[in-house]
Amino acid sequence: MRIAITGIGIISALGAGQQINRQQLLAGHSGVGGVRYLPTRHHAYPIGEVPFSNSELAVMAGYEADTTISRNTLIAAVALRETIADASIHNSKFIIHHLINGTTVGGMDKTETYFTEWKKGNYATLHYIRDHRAAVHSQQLAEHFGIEHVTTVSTACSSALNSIITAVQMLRTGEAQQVIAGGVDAMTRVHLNGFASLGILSQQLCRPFQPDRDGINLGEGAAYLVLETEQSALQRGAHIYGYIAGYANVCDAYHPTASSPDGEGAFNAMSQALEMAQLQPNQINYINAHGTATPNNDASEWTAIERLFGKTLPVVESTKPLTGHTTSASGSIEVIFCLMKMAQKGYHYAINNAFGFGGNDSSIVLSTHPTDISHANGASIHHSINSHECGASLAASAAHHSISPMQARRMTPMMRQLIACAESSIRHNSAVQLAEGVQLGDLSPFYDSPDAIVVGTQWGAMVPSLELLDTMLMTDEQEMKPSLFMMAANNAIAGTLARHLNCKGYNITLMGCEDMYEQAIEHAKRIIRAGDAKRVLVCGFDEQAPIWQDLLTEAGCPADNIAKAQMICIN
Amino acid sequence: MEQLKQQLKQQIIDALNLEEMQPADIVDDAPLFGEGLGLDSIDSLELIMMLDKNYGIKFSDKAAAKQAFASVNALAQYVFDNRTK
Repeated sequence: MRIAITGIGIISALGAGQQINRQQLLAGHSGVGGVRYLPTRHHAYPIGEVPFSNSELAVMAGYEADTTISRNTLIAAVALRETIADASIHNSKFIIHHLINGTTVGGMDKTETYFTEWKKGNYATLHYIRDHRAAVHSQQLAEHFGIEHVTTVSTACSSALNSIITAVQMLRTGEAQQVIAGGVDAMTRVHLNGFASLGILSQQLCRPFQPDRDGINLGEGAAYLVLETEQSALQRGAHIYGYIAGYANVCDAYHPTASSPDGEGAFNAMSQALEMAQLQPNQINYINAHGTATPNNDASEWTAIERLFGKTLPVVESTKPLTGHTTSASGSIEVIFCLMKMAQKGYHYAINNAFGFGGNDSSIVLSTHPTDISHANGASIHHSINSHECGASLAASAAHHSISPMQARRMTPMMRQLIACAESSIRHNSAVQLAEGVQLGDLSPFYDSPDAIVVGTQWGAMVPSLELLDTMLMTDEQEMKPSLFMMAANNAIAGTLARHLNCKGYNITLMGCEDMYEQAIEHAKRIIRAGDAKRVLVCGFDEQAPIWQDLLTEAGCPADNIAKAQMICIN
Repeated sequence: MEQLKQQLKQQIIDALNLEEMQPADIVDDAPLFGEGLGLDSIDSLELIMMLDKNYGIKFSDKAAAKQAFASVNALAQYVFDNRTK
């Protein structure tokens, strides 16, 4: 089976569209500079803003110039519009049915604008609170372009790459014939202050892999790709930019934000993606590295690259100094940069890396000529058992037995409850399988560990998110607790589960609405059918936060406390 | 000095959200990072914020912070010598 890339669209600090991005990329020009649009007091950190105002973006994306739609949605819409036009989908009999959108910002750019008003009891703009959910932002995009099904992936800085991987899984399992996938993040004060609180932003142009590197330049942008089976592309005479030859989504399971010193996650991601592509390391010509320019990321990633490629390294570069680190958009922006570099330099094979907080490490292998991706093995689903509906009562007492005080310092009560639920599901599942005479693998210490974790949520980690948002606004961006920022990422809980269970395999967080848990279950079945996992822990969570809960009730969409888990296993 | 140590222990517990620990659980001369209490780089950022807020301490470089965070004893001495409030 072959997966072709038949349409691309991109917007970044380099400009809007393929043409300007290609030109600036190949010339090595940087779009990183002073703050122009973000209403922040922090001007010491250069950032890579998309060089257009919201009203300019609105017109480019086909909205009214005075629309109140968020910058995150507008940036995404500009790139989506180009992607769809580029794939000529509307000129053929094919209609795109699936959008896979990666984002972490979601509706945060609106929330940070209006939260202070809401807190004062001014509810004129309270309807925006519904749009805080990343899934609602994706739905707005899908509606604008008439796309029926939408999935939102939120694995921090690897979101876009995991969106592309999800799209490939849908093609491999026959769930779809064409999918549009990628990611977006607009700049927000929350993540600028958050990265600053972690002490990992540079005050100069970032210098990836250089000995004197001292941190990240953040950026914003969006990029999407149309992915389809080669058969479908050939039938409709589509232009093929390249092929996805392999992929891997793994978890470093080491630390909430830092990469392991030996780069285990990065090594596993690249080597498993190469294995799927049936390629040897010496066949790779080019690596577009994650290369954020933090001392930690680059040391870890470089260690992994040297371990995998030995002394004959391919060309390794990071394009972060050109665009800034576009967080959830970086994976799809850089896959497009790979394709552009491959076309210019005549490279056959390239790897793109995208690593996120939570230890979410993903790699994709790209090829410029027809390359098979191994067939999905079509595994059947054995069990879907032991769904623990822990519900609204967050009596944390039951959840403490395996969590030390040191681990608990970075967990909300809901997180502890979810871990207890997950452990209970795993133990129960092991017992049922043993009773049925199924040979289990690793039984240490008391259960058969999952090889994949899929988490669904509607609102994300609202307790830490809201506390840090409130403090940031109250102190006029003077104060933010780094540990709260770390816990506030939508995928922080999936990363915590991975570390707690030592699960270094597939790891993803999906954002939905009321259907978030069902979406997670569907995804677990998808990855089993795609042959990417055998024993999947599925979790669903939401947590009620002070103030926020009252506002949600006022807006007519109250959220529940939810912690659920179940195991889904291969037969 | 003894009073300052007790105060610092409680402030460490509060800043790092070590809600199940008591000041007595933190040993005066045990390392705060690594093998001792087991804190990491994010905790050190939290402690730097806490010391700035409560004692007006601003670390000039990483080496100074590393020295101050060697143990509660070392931290108390550092705060005693460098506090501005």
